[in-house]
Amino acid sequence: MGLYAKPLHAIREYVQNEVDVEPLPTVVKIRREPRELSIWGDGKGMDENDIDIAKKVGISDKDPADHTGFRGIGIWSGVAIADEILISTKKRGCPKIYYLKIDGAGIRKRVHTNVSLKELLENNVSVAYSRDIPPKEHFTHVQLRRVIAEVRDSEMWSEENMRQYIIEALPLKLDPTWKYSKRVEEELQDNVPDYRVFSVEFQGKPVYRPPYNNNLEAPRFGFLFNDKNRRIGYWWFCINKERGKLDEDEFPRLIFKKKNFTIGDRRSCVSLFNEGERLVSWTTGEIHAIDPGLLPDSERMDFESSAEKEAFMQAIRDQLATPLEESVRKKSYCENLAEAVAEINLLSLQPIKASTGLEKLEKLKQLDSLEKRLASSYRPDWTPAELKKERDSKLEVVRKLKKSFARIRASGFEPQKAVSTEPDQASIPESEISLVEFANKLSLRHQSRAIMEVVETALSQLNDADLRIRIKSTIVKQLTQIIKVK
Amino acid sequence: MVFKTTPAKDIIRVSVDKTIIADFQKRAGCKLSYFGLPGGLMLDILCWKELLRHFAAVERDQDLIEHRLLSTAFKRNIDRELELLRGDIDEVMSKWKDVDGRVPSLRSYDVLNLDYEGGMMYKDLQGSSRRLAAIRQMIQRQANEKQDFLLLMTVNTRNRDSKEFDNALQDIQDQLSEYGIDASEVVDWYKGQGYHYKLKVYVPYVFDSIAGSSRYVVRYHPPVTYLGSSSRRMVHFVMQMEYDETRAGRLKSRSLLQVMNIPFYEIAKSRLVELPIKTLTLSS
Repeated sequence: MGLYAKPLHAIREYVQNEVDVEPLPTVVKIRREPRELSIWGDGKGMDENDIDIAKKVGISDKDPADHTGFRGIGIWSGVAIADEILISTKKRGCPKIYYLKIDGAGIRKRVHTNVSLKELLENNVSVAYSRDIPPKEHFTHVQLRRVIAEVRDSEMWSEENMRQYIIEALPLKLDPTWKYSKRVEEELQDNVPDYRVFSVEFQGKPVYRPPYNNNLEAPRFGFLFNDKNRRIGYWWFCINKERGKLDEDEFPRLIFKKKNFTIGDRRSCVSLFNEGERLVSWTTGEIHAIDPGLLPDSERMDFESSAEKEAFMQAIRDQLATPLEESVRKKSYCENLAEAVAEINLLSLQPIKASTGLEKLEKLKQLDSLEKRLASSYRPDWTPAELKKERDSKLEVVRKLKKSFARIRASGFEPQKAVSTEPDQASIPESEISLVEFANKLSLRHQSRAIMEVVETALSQLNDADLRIRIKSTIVKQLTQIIKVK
Repeated sequence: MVFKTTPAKDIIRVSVDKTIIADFQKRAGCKLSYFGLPGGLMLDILCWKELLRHFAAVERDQDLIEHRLLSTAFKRNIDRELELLRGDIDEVMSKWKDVDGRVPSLRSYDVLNLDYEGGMMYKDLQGSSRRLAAIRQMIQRQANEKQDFLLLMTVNTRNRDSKEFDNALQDIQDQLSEYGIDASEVVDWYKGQGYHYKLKVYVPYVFDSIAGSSRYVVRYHPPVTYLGSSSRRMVHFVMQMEYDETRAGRLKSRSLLQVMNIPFYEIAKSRLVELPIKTLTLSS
């Protein structure tokens, strides 16, 4: 009776049952106890007739196009993990509250015997009712009792993992603290015909779907069309506000949704992108399947193979993957350009110095690379006006720096003179090294420190600061080398 | 499957208990914690909801009432404040954990509601009452935290407890005679009354003794008798337990007099009516 690979899928099945009929519940509450699980929703509820239908495994009267849990396995899905399933349900206007008790342990025990499934189920389910309920009430409460040890002793039963499962699998509302949540919810409600929204609470607290972090650019939206120009999907995504990948634990990649239930996992869409994980990992979002012909498989890990699925996947490749990847590339390009501009700004704040030929070469390389970043990969059509202006001015600065630095190098005079990035600014003398401090840093012995103090005092008599600095610098350099060799 | 209240119980819940709890809450200066047997419809908790901040509800494991209790909590949006403990209340109070091994989340509670469906006294073969032992342990646990609290208790009158009641009355008479008070007339009067009258004396007498050994002084609110479901005669008690480090030992004559003289009410025709009782005075 292992209907699902993941026992927690039972939660999704019962929630699906709850939301498959109008009116939708306003809230679904899930409560985990050490040995049991409750799923309660104020949805339409069931009367005797509905219960009779619900009991008929696999022959549900639901229309696949209208219902997510069309296979009719919903009410039985807890059998695999609980010894008893107690369902109480009340339909608005019906004077009775019905109690449906399923003997999960009994079914599991006899499922491999010769008893027919129909007989097995009929013999292990009982229905009772009470009448003491106000007629206006409507709800369904599923209680999985005596959850089997294999499940409740496993990590999946922990509160945190169950919460994570709920976040990943159920049609939750977007986190209201995310600044674009209202806008995305409105877009989805306007453009996804069967988009379902209701509150879900776990352990008494509301649970929302990501993103939870505001470090994202504004969302982008769009439809997917098939070759007959019919809408078959609707997507939204946001790009990382910073440069680079989004943390996958915090931000799922693009997630497939059908009626807001998740299909597959947070990486299912990655293979559809030209560059795989590389660029889509900068984004987070959802792709809502709106073609009624797109049916999820029984585990909701994928869509069932069909022409509709092929068309859907192709539309993602053609209509979403390319523009998304281009957006990310553009974003990366702009960030790179802005970074180069910022680096030049930083360089401009201090004079560029080099004490050796090798250092000079390094600096020149750095300036070359900055120039290249600003010039050779420049895409005017991708560059916002403000950045364009900055880029033009900084390109001029970097070229000027390169020229003046190269000139100093060509003249070959020593000592190295600082090159100012601002042409009119006088060169700033290098701060003087303290030989005593240097000795302290090297933890020299007392005698050596005393010698340094004497030298320092002697040098202080020199009025030529340049000469003084050069002498001290030579002492420091040579001492450092001696110590290294030792 | 009966999940019912009675008009009499509704009056007690609203007119008697709620007033006392509100007063207690006002003096505590914050919302109160609840531990007890709220029943499937959680009528008590729903009625006192605005005075409570946390409810530990004990219900028998895998019982339909437990299922119904959860449904009620979900529906009435109080599931966040609900702590559900499973098992027999006496067991939970004795072992301080439920059948799943869960320890109640608070160390002590402001309101204990022991709305027993049965009697209070039934004894095992060794002649000891498991229920009383559990209550004693619970009160001691409260005392360890120096917790003032309200103890609400509803019990039905059972013939089986009758001998125990008569013995208690005799004890009271004997103890009072040690103080030179002749209580024979009053005790005989009680002996001649129905079980609910005997219970009205017996419960405070027993509780005063239990409370005293845990350094509590008990303030009794008048018990109320009423007809419960299936016309079973019930008696409802509210005892205010105030922790007092100086309190110890057996009952003083004044306490015994108070126990005997607590007024007694009845819910009759949807009204709270004081019943006539025979009282004791120091000069008796």
